[in-house]
Amino acid sequence: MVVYIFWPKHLKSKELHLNDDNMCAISICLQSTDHIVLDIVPRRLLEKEALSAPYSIIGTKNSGEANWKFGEANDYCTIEFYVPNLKVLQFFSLEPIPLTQLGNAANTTVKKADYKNFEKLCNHPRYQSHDDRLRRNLSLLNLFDSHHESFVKRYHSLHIKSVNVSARLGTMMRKKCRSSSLRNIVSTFTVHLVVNMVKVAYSVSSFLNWRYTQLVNISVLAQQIDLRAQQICYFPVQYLLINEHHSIGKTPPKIEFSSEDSSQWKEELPCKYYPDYIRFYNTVWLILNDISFGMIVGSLVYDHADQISMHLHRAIGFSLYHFPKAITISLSNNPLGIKLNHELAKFFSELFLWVIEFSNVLFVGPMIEINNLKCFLRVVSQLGCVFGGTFALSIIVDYFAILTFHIYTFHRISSKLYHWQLVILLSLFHLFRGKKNNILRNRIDHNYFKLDQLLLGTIFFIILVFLLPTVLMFYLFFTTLRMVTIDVEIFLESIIALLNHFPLFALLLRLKDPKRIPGGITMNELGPGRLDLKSKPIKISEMFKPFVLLMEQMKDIYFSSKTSRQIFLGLPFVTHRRKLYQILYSSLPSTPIDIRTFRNKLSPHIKKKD
Amino acid sequence: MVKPWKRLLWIKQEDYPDNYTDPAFIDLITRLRYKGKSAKPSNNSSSVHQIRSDLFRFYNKLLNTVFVYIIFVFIYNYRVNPVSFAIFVTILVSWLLSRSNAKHYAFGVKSSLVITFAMLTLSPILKSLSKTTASDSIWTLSFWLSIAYVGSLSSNVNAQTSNLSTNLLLAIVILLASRFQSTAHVFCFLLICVQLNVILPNLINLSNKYISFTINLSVYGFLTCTLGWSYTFLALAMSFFYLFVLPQWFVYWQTYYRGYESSLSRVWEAQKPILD
Repeated sequence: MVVYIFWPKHLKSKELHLNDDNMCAISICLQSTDHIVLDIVPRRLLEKEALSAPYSIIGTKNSGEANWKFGEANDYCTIEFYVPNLKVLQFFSLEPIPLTQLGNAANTTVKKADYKNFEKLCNHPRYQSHDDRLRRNLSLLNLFDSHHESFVKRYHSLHIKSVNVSARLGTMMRKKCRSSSLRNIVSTFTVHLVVNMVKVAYSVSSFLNWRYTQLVNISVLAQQIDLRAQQICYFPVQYLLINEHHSIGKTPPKIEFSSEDSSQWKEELPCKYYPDYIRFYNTVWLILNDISFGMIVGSLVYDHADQISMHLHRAIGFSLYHFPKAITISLSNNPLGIKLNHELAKFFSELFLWVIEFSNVLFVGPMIEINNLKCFLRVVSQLGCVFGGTFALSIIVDYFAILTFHIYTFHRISSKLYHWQLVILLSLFHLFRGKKNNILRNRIDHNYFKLDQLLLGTIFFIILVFLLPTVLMFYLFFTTLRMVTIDVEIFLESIIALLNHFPLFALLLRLKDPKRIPGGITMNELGPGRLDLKSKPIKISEMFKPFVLLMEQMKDIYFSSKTSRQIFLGLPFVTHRRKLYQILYSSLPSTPIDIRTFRNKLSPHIKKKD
Repeated sequence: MVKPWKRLLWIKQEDYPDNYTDPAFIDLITRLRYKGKSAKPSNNSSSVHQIRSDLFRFYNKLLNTVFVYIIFVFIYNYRVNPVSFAIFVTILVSWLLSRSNAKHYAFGVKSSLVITFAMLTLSPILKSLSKTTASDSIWTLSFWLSIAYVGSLSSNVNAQTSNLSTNLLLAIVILLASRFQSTAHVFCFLLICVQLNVILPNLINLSNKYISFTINLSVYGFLTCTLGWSYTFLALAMSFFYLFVLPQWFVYWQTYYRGYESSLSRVWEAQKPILD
């Protein structure tokens, strides 16, 4: 049976320091954990005091010897590690800490029927994890500092304590400030302000998500405002969550000798509130970044508004008015050598030309006139300075959507015509063969038609077959136009999503101190009977996982074989914007917290501050 | 006494040894052998007359459809005005309808009116359907549609014309009609063809001596006038072969060659696998 001993690496320097003494290693061992060496002390100090459980002497080393001697009975293996500094939130963790609450989005795809089998599988002992012992060891390791402090407190004689004057002074001053009445007034004022802001944000969010007119699905601006409102609603909750557990670094845990179960430590570790900590500061940082980005771009745009509006006027005018007009006219005159039905093509082109002219006069023309564009750009840049770059970008996306509204209508009209034609053609084809679609039995049956039905059916069938290429040409043209506008919109929306949900904080943490975002542990062999325990930081690709998922979803909706099938059948693209970007909202709770529960949570803090 | 052996698929029959031969089988084989030849003439072959009448009916129907092409050529190439002919055919058909109104009420007044007015309304659309398509593609399409139509005709006496054959015929007619320049021509052409090929065969018996003679005469006369004697001779020779040589040949095959294999295999092999 191998016995594992966890050996902190900073004790090696202490070992060198005490090299000429006979040393003992003192370890702590709670129920169902392994031994963790707390300190190395000279043997002479131990002669006066006896150690009681859970502390014990695990090994000895005489002066001049190279290796430690542990007990003879078992095989010993030392695992060396650097002690995680809990004050700066370093810790070990077996699984990557959850930076996003991806469970919210993933739950919708699990079917009820599959779930029972999955449960059965999970309950089988083969698929359950047997790493309880390791988990307890790791939680003990994480709380090393507090255990060391309580050990020191109990056995004074084994240590020489140095008084830290500045720390004493700091704690004295903090205690004094806490009781001043000015602080009370300021705190009540901030609390009431925060509650009112949350109320407003909650009402805005529920208005935008009203079931009957889902503004969030229609407009990007509404989605952006909704996101900010939900973030505002969630801020106080996050702040409270973080601060409830903030005392972990300051008071050491009391060790009950009767119940040595170390599983209770898990609740007090930073594992639970740490993701919220990361998310909170990430959101704050992103908002500040957003505003600064908006200011930079906004001021640039403001200065060059004249030139930009001139170029835009020409470009948009060409692509939204002249180009569709030219192509529509050419479609009525046998484009690409394909022979279309002359009357029908002429009728269609006249219809669409009329709508293009009408929309041009009504909204496209005025919207892209140079002066109006200038004014619009100036207003947007100023708004962007105040509210952030995402706000300005979402206004631009909505403006663009309104501009291309006539293309959207063309696409809908032609897709409806094409779809109806296909459906009628299919039904008449069944009539051509002498069969009919039996709706009750959902199959094709033989039917006895009368002569006039047959005649009319066949005539219509042949007419529709000959008219199909014409309708198809118009439909394909307008569908490509619509796809292009959708691509532009997606591109802008992706930029907004990146600005809104970039995992900046986690990335910088990874750069600055990888031990602060643990994603697992690694053990390497240093020598015979010696292992090295290290914390593995979360991979960068993990941090960008929501984006990758979003890209895959978008690809599935807009660029997959499903899309080609939809185009072929003439079905429209319907996207629920909220569902699409749901995956990115995963850092927020699925519904904003009700104001009453929030008030209840806040009231003990108000009382405490009084 | 052992049970008579039956050929059962996938069932192991334990009672018989491997080289067992059923005595009834030997009986059958000896009965089948006849004068040293391999098969005995079967008794239940059809008569030549029966087959010839069936083929004749099909032949008349085929000739009837040639009228479609005749009318088309008249209107398209020779620019004959079809209105008078349309009126004539309409009067003929309505007279025949009123004579046998009780039996064939499938085409009542209402449905004929519906058909007529529908065709009248849709004629301008039909006229413009294939204006931009080349003539060659139309001829090819109509050729293949005619092959499909002939294939879909059923030779059963009592069966009504199937939906598919009617529709195919209509498809051919509409396709050809789209070549015309005038709406009236389109309408008349449609009317004539529908009446001749769809309504008329239900009212009169095409195999009637006089009617058949008229049809034959008109078709071969037209063929002679337009294409010349060589084509007529070719057509006549093929029809002669079809009507007089083919039935005889078929009955001979039925009597002497169809019997042996089928009688042997029908008795000694289960028609359908018995799965138990």
